[in-house]
Amino acid sequence: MTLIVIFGLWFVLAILISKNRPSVRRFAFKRFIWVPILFIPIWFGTYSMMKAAPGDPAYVIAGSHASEEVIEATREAYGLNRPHIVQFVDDTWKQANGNSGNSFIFSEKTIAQLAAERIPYSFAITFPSLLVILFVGLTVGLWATFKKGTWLDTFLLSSALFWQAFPSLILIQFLMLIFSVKLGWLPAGWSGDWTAVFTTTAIIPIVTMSLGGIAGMARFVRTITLNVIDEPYINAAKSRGLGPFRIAIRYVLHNASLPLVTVLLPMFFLSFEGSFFIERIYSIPGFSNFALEALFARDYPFLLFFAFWGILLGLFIKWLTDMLYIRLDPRATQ
Amino acid sequence: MDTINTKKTSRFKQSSFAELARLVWQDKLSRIAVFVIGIVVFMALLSFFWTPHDPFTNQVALRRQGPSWSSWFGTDLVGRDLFSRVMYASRITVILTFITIVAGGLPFSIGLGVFPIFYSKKADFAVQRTGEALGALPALFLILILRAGLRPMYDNFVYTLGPAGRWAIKTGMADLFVIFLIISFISWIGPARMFRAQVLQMRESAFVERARMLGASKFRIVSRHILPQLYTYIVHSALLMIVGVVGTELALSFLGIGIQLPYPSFGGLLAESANSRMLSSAAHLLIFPGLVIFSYIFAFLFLELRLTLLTSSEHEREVLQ
Repeated sequence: MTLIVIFGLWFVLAILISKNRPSVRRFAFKRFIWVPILFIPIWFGTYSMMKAAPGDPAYVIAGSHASEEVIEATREAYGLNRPHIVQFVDDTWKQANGNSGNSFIFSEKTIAQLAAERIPYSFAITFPSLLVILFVGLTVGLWATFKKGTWLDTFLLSSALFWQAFPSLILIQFLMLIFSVKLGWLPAGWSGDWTAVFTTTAIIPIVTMSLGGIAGMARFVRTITLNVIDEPYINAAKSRGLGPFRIAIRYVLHNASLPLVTVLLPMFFLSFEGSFFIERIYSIPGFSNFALEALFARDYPFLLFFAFWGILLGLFIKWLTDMLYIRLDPRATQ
Repeated sequence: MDTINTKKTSRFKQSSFAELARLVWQDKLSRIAVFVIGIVVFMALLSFFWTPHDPFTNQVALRRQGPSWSSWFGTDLVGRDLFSRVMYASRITVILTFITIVAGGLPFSIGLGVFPIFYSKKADFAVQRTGEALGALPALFLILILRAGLRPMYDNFVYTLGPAGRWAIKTGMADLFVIFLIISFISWIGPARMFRAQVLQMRESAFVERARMLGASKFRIVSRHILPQLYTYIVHSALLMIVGVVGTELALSFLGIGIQLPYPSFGGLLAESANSRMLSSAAHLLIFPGLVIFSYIFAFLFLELRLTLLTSSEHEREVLQ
């Protein structure tokens, strides 16, 4: 049922995006049909791989020292001795109904509850850093464009490269070494619940997450705005005496918005990837940290939940990016 | 006379990469980057013959000591010499870099991005959809799932190989190979798409048409007329791919699912220092491996930036600056 509701909302979104644009609508639905065609093989492949791995779920539930009879009984109780395809259909049906079952390691809670507990932490560090990346990255990138060819431009570009080359798992350790251990200004680990994001605890993770992103964003903004900055209408705007802010927002960014939109959406999704290391090193009890714990403990209900909704979310973001691109530039349907 | 001339021109065509190498060598800043990469590669090669100490011997009495004359980078938690371990770790990184360029992501991306358009529409379509499906998922998510599913099967398979398999496991080569497989599986997508877009434009151009008119086979068109035109793109994506591969190895080994202990890799070395207690008592565990791998990655990224400047035309250079 959950899946049907989600597909319904998706459908409505497709209609809303392609409002008054028949060619866009045709494209939207053509892409929409591809979602299940891509989803089913990927999901089946992932599922089969997880089930084919030795150390079957019965051992995880009953413990590795359980006797053969206990294992057999566990298999019976959890339906693990049925044919592979039957289990696949059953598990898919459960996931589609939003019934992800109880976790093996935290058996008193459902997966959905556990995820709901952990996601605020991840969101608390990813959302502020995305805002920082967006605003600072745009500002720095535009600044470099306006100062094109000067030493400032070269400086900004090379420092961007420096931060881009820093893997987050090294950067956060260096920041902790300098600011927590040597100087003692900031704490060296997360304390409190997710509301601690408003205290000094959150500075190191947010800064780590932002720095690399700002560098990438600034370089990207510079590349896409450099084509625009020499256009005659920018010169016209300058000669009319408009301020740099007005020119930047009204004329430069507006004309460079197409590639920007297509990068921002996947960035939001991918930013959770960087938080794997930040959460682990800074000991934040967020979703990524939980995902790793569950993965190593072979918590099957969680793995299924993670794979099912992760694949679907990935395909959705992909679709949405394509749609926004086409909505902004209808020529792309050809 | 005529034959000599044709030979000469075709030899010039083959030398695109040599020309690029000459360009890089003439640029002073790129030369520095090449030197940095060279130092790490030299350390890696040297580790096959000589390390100052055995990277696997524990000397608990000497544990967590700072840098000194006998052990240049200090010692780790159980007293192993950190410099030797960094040398051994750079071996893993350099091998991974090398095989990705020679036999992994780069040949895959060229093979899947350039050839299918010329040979079969269906194959091209299939490659496109597969790339789209894999590209829709975050790389690390895909890697974790692949690792969770494939690793146990892979281990069983390696054990069945007998002595060769045991040797691979003993020397850590089995771990290296599984990382290589997983990375190759996903790293071709972006570059292949880029090559394809370039080839699509080029396919309509006059020189391809002339070649076809003269009766050149598809393979000859691709290898003699298309690929030499693509070489800047190939070098750029190769450099970026190296950065991605090194980063992925770092990530996997850090999480404990890449190169397994006791074999040192940069990810594993950096995982040892990753808590505040270690950072306060033994900061050298972070500083030395961190700086080595950072300069390796930075050198490749820097080289990529310089190449963009060097290979662009006069007008583009003005834009890129």
